[in-house]
Amino acid sequence: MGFLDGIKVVDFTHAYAGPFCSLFLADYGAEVIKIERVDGGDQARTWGPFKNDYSAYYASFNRGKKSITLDMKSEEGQKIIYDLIKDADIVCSNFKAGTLERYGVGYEQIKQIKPDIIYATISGFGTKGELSKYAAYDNVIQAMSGVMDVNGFADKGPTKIGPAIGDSYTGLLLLLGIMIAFYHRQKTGQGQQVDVTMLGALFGLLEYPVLEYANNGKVISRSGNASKYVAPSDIYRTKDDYIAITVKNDSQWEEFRKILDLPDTEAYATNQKRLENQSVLKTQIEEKLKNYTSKEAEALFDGTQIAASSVMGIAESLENPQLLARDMVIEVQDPVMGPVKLVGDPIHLSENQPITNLPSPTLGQHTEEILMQLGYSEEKICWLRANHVV
Amino acid sequence: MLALDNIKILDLSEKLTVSLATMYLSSYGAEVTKIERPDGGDRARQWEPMKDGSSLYFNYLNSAKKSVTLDITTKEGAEILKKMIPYYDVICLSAQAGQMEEMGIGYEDLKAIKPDLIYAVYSYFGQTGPDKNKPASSLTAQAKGVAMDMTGVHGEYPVQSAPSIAEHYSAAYLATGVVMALIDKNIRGVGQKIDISLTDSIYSCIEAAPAAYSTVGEVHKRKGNFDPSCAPYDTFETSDGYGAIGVATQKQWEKFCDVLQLDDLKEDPRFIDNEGRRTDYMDVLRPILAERLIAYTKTEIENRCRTQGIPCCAVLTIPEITDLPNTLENGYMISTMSEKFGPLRYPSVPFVLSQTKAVPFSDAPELGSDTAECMKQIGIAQEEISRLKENHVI
Repeated sequence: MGFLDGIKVVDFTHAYAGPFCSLFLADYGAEVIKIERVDGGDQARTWGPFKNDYSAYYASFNRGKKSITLDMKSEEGQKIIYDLIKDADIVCSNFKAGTLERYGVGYEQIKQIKPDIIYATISGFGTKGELSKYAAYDNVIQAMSGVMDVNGFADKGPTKIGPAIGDSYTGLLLLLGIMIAFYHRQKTGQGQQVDVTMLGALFGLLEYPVLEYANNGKVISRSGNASKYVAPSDIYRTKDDYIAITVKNDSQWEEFRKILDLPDTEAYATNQKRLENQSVLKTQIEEKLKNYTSKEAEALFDGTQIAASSVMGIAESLENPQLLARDMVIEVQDPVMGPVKLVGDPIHLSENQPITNLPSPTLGQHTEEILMQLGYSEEKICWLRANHVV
Repeated sequence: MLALDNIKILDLSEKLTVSLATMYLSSYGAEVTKIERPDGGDRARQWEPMKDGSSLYFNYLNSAKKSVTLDITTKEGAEILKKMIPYYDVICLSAQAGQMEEMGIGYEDLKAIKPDLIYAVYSYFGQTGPDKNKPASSLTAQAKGVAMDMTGVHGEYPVQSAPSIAEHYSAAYLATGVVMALIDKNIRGVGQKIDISLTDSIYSCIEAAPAAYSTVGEVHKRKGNFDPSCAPYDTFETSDGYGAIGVATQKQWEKFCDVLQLDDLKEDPRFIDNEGRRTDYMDVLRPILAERLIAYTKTEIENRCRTQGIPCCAVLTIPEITDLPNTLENGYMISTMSEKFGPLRYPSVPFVLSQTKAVPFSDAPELGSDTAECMKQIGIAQEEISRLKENHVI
């Protein structure tokens, strides 16, 4: 039971960005009908790793959705889409700009069939200008947006943020836009378009360097992990891995210094001095921390106000008591792969439990069910299959 | 008409995350009132970049909001906050578990005053779980979010992402949660609590890492700029900077080989499919490509690939992207005339609704500019206002 119970989503999304968005719609009870190509479906189905020939990647972002295969180029296929959209509430897509129009399912066309539809699209570089026609992927968007240039160490190359944030962050903003549009529709009955671009989403992450450059002409590039405002605040090497530590003020510094047996010197007496001398300080801190594993080092600061966290990897995170207590690690029984662990829902609404226990659909798993609901006869469905429309 | 123009929000937070969330909501019409400490207010008022002694950063995050000074850590201040609650639909704040409850203004306290209140709270680790009161900074909370372990070069230090992505994800989740709760309130008439944490938010972006580990034991850890799912999906040094390439399909790989004169690789049986290209990529395909691509400039690679439908781009610097024609054509930057600062350029709200558009930018409020009006509204007499001012409660 979720607040989107009874809401129908026609989901043209594929790969990662769009599916990340519609995942949340399914979590809160919407019926998300994923339209997939007849020959292979969503390209993410071909992305590794695989277990029993099924993509664990695809499984991560499509749980709780329904899958129907459809040839969108065929006349019969388009008719099915129109039938679906007639009583749908939301349409989502992350095709590049212009693709849906070519298939006869652009906003202007859909509005004729369903005037109050919320029509939500992700594109790569925007809808205007010569770049709009090109396909985009996360690393390209991270590169172009400036994110890569500001990320990493001053003396090393630009660094991609490991996970594909160009996809998930864009998907998340689309979700926010859809929710605002949905609220407006509740009030007024009016539908509308919601549009997010991957480039615009990541560019928006750069508030500080963009504001500096655009208004003060000052150029900011990558500068590593150390804080510019307090010291020590950085990532340190330990005996086995790494630990993040932030010492926020002088009294914490006193405590920190004693715990690690660091020199009691004028050079570290104030935050300003510790900032100035932080490279020497870092060497001394790491000299001490090399005697401890990250876990042991983190425990040194238990009971103090000093912020310290080992840098957690994926394997450990799946057993982490805090993440487990927050339902951030969930286990789904996948009919093909068996048990699979996935990321839970971070929104935590007290009156809405997200539905997170359903597996992702196999390709076309719900084709027949959905067509029958639309009133197609068994005979007709056979014909559609024989002609590769579904 | 604005989408959220009937919604009133109290924002008790400071700094980035919650201010960004309420900025998104105010852009779409909600009336947002910031509650600030009487002694200096939101610390972001001092944050760079500065212009004429004032923070552009604060001005950007708090566009069009109201400002009321109120020290909620005093008993009187907490009582005044309670008097304000009936006038608002939503309260957004940033607090560790137990912190608001200790002051008598936790969710249950405020819910008793206004049962359908939407209460959104942000913290590093969340309001529940064994670590809820563990001391933290943004850096250390991100360290628990795995994305850090996945960012950077193999065998070297993990990288805290330089744009504040953990805060931006948190802000977007918080704003989304608020609107979800507003929708639910329309349906069922109930309010609710929204509990957003920085660690959960950043953990939600780690892609298929949990599935990959739990199904086949594949560990997703930092691998430079390479993506483990498909190859070559990476950044390469060129003769004049860096270029990023994203080959995700077989067709793209073949075209990539054609336009960059890599015919031998196209024929190479090791690289015949994606599985082959991604297997031991760092030691096999990557070094070969690194050697071949350094011969081109970053724009040469971009142009050759892009025209063939292969996703790729030169790595742009902040000035390059800010002034790119595409940025202006698509409205990612807006130019505005600020009453306070004169002409300003700001990044625009990164999601666009066609009917209920975002409101144009206007300056952030001066500290406490709406205090007197707000006190009057809740029935506090003029003398009382003066006394509260003297006692630094407001």
